[in-house]
Amino acid sequence: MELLTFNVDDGYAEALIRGMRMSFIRKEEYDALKDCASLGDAKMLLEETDYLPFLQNEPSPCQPNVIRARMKEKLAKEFEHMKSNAAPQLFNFLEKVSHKYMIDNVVNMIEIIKNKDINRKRQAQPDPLGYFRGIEGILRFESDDIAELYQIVLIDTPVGDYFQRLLEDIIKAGAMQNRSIEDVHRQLAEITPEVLRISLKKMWLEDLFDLAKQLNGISKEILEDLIKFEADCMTIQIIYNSISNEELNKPAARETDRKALCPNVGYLYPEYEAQLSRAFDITTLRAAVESFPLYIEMLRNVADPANEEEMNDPSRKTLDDIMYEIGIKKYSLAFDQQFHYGCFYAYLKLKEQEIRNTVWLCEMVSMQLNRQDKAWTKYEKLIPFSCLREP
Amino acid sequence: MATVTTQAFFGFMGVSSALVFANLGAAYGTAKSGVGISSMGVIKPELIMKSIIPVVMAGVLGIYGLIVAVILVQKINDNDYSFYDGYKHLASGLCCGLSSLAAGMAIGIVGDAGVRANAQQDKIFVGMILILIFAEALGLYGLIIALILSQ
Repeated sequence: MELLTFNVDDGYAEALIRGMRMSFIRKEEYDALKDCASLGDAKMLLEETDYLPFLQNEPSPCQPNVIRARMKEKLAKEFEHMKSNAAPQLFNFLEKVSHKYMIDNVVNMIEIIKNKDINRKRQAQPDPLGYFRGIEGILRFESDDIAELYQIVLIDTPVGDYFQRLLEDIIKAGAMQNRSIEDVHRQLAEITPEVLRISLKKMWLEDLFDLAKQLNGISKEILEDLIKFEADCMTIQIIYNSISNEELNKPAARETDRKALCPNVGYLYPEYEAQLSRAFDITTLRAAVESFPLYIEMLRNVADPANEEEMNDPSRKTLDDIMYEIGIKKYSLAFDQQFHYGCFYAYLKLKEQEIRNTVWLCEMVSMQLNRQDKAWTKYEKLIPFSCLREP
Repeated sequence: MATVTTQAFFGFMGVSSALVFANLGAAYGTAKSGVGISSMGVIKPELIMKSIIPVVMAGVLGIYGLIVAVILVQKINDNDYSFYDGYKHLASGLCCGLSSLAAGMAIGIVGDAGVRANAQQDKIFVGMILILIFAEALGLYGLIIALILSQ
């Protein structure tokens, strides 16, 4: 009965989101951006879109990374505005969504600390969407022991919960295999930032799924679909990337390490989990997902990681791009129904895609590539809401 | 024999339940599919008229309730109304009303999803109509029994 009760708490927030949906950059503007001769022109074009207040104070030869930073700042401000106008249930949901960016920020900083890279330390700019109080304190941390970092700095932060669960998991796994405390400590110290990022994101996604299950009927239906799709993309990506990685692809590691990185939600979980954990190359991966036409389509034209030639062939799309294309369509369709929280999540994802597209085009413009090059038309399938237009 | 007010209570409850529940169903059906049509109509305006069908079918349920209520009101009278008739008319009103409520809910949900899916893939149109017809049939069954009971 969301028809009757949704607008009581969340009507204003939904109205805001619907208004902000109009601010997406349209195909004509992307085409005009493509035809720009220089970065100065590109900046002027972007100033005619909704990004004017954020770009107008930048000096004119505006580098793509500055454009990306300003666009992300705008997105973060909009997100803050949404959160401050949200009733408690929506606020909890939006907080949970922003944990993902906090995880990214923290893992980036851990990476910087581990590599003891002083230059990057000075330039490190955390993603403004994942800002939380105390984020600066992480960079000042001296040693690179994660357990210590957790106990001193992260324990008070919103992402502290995920780190705690990760540490508990590792300690429990160590206890089950009868490893000593020093062994466990060493394993903690050696954990690579990539594995750390994937494990934390996996936990976050499962948490978000649990939160979505408690929402009202329409929100639950739409968010479950979007989150399951994201989880499946993550699983397929992990297995695809591990095909060329000797460490993860050994039969012993497949069951334990690789499976531990794949999320426990999704259409592929739990029925196909066993089959996926046995997949070791592109054919077995394709066989494992053959009950899902969407994923068959996704993997059909993708390059075989074992085959060098195909991987370097520029006419093939990468798995990332294919996943973005399918994702854009799903997120655009989430705006169709009313009275649900899916449109908030979809808005974030679509805005991120818009930032990626714009920055990609600005980089193309600044590199002055030959106009015939295929890379110029990459954005055409990736425009938010383009699937809803007349063909 | 007791005054006619007690059995008339049941009779008139039948009248009001027929009308009220049927209108609830019709309102839900209209509202839910109307939301779907509004979202879809922004992108594909040429499909709007075709997509009005769920709204019409939901409206028909309100008419079922009206028919039964009018027929029952004619049958209830001041001085010669037995308890048997009172209960019979209550049953008649509830049959029609609650069946139309159920049908209205089904039409609302299917209409909403069907109309949005039709905008993406127009071969779904025939399937949506078939499902709506089966949903509407539930209200029709209620009307038939209500008419039989009201005699």
